[in-house]
Amino acid sequence: MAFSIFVNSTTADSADMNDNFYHIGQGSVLPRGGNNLEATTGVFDLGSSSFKWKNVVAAIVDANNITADNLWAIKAESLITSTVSRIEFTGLNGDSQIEYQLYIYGRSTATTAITLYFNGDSSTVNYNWMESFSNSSTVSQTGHTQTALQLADMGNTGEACLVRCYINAATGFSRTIMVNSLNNASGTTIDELSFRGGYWSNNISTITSIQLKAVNFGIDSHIFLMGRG
Amino acid sequence: MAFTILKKDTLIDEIEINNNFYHIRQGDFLPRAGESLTAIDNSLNMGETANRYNDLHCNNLEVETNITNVWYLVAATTLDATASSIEFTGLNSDNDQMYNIALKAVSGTTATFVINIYFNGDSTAANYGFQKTVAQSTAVTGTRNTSAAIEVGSFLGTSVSQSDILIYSKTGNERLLIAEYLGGGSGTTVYTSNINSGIWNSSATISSLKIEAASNSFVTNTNIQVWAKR
Repeated sequence: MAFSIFVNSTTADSADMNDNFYHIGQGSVLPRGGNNLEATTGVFDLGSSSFKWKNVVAAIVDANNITADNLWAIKAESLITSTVSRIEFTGLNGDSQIEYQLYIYGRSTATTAITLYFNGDSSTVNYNWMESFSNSSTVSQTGHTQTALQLADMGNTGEACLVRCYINAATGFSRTIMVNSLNNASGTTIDELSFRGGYWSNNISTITSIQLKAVNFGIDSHIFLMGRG
Repeated sequence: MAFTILKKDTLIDEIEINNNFYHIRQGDFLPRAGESLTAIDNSLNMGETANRYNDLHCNNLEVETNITNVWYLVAATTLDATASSIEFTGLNSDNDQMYNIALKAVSGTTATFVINIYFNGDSTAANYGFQKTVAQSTAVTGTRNTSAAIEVGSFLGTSVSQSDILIYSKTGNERLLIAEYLGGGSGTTVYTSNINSGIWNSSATISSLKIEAASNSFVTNTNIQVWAKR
């Protein structure tokens, strides 16, 4: 029901008064603004940093962004609907979030590696990584010092990869990363399983962005970045 | 205090008007419905998809069913009796984009056996493929094959096996899985350290996951948690 604004020296109907109470207190409680208390979106808060609700008890919480020190929450997500060669997550703070989990489901239309770099640092050899991997019955290892960290491989059209990374992001030490990746998978064949450990030798710059690069990330590629805080 | 419904041509006390405002907004803020604005449970929303609150500030957030955009525990069980398998049904990978399964499995026998995972009860041979790396003592081996399930744990003798299993579950493409597991530990011995990757050659909606002790059983205190990202 609509909200009635009472006017000086004008008789108010009891129904209008009741409806005003119902408008603000009955049914789903929406954020409201303006003289007519119309529903709004993305403007008003529930509580504030100085005036918090003690407990919020709900069946379902649907939030685009969650910030909590003791919770792993999505900080950025990208579902690819048209091919791209670069994905960037910005607005990060590696010193407050401390650790990230990065998940990549990758599909490609070309043979490509997926590489990662921090804060756009891709021109100097600031990354070192070591890998052990198995391909059929062969187990091998390799190590590299490069301009980015290689996370996974997508071999060909229709092949996919799955990557899980743990990134230690705080300044003061080299930023370390652990990566498990399943590479070049299609049908019932997985070409390679890899475990990598690596680091970014920059120990003084706060991580503010993460870039991922490939020849292409194809449609249905899906990347999640989770962090704390 | 109770809510007073105002009536036409009836004198109203200012206390009743004030009490109506207090009823709505003073003290704990509860969901309310009906003419008397009675508190009700699990029926009304705070905000909606088209009309969102910007920020929510609170000390404690207690959620009963689901939170989007976090790892959320959707199912968990600890065995209080021996069981050959544990199955989670009622899942929906149209909504659940990833699963993370934490498994601590306990074996009561000295047998050597593996722990398998099945999607939607599918145990058709050659519907799954895997590439595995196993470290045992000083030997490291790799294996690639097709199978009727994906191995996500193993036992060598009476021991405990711990597994961490990541599944990209979103409907539409084959499902990929990475499982890291300690293949049985007892005393000061770890029998194997394993990492397995698997693919289920189906794009169907996942409705169930079954964890099975192959030709054997899990005993009490086996604990499994299924976390989902929705």
